[in-house]
Amino acid sequence: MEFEDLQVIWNSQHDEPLYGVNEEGLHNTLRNKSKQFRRVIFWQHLQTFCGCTIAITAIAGLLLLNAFGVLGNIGSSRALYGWELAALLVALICWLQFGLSVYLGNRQQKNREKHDTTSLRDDLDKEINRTKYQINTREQIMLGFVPPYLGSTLFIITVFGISGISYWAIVPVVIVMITALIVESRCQRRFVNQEITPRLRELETLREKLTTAPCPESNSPDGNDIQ
Amino acid sequence: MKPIEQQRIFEEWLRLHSGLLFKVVRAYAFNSHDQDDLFQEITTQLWHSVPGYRGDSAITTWVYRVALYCAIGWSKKEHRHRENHQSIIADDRLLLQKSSAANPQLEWLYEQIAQFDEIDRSLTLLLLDGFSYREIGDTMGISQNYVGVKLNRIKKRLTEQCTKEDKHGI
Repeated sequence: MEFEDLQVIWNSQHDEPLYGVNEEGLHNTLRNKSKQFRRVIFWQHLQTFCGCTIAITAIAGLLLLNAFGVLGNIGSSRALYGWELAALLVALICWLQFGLSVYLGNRQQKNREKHDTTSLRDDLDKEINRTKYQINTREQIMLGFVPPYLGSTLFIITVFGISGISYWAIVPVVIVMITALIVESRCQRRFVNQEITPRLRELETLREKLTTAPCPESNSPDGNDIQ
Repeated sequence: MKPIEQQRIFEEWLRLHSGLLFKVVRAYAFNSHDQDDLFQEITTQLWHSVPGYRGDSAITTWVYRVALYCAIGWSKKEHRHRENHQSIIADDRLLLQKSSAANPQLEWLYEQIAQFDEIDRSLTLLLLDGFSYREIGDTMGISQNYVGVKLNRIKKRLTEQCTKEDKHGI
């Protein structure tokens, strides 16, 4: 039995297809998958940008109200002290930095993924890159989330100050903020350890299989093209 | 690319190369549910790949590459796919097997291919479908020499196995 005989057996399936396709079912599936994917991406972007917009608007609004002298005339509030003004400016910078870094990070990654791939190994490299980006992003989330958490805390402290609420009320706010940051960071780390890192290992194993050098005792290739 | 154009190209690829997809599905998935699941994954990837096709390689090579890459990834996370299977495909079967096409020799050949690891399975499919060493190397991203070495081993293993198991009538 020669390999050519196996080739004949293989080619026999070209005479009659082994399967038929349920085209309507396939189209439904494709539509649903595309919709799901777009929805997830849309919500992620929306959450980030809504969060940034709300925070920046609130901080900028407070600064404007103070600048136009409106703040002292609303209820029992008063004009901002110098340190409160500074705290609000820092909070504004924190949120702007966060929004910008998320936006630029996503754009850079999209640009990296745009490059054409010509082989399976390129695809694997691309996927490994993407997975590493996910791991890096999530591992640095504690640091990455410090600016918005700090910005929010400073904003709340200032609002408490101008509303006449006791400064002691700041303590639980700070504790909640720190706890939330730690919990968020732990969740992300667990996700990295349980989901993303095993996937990276699998991809790297596959890549290794593709690149493993042939053993010395192997036969040399008998030729060239088989066509 | 406009969605209508993407849809037209996708449908044309599917019409012309569905046989190729069936081979990949059958080599990587071994029951009807998994075959449906993998076929769905491959077609989704193929749909997404349409705008990325620049015409640098033959469409067959492109479709094969997308299908193999997807199948290799799928077989690695097969368990997760199985868990999600029910919710994803519900009662819509995508692949309808034709009983008239049953061929014990072909079944045997697929069984042998299924015993290879993911990369060797891809190489075997490309080899059996008449791709040159150079094309296989380009598709997989490995050197022509390495392809030659791997395929020699595969050919040897297949023919030895075939000789051993002549009870199958091959």
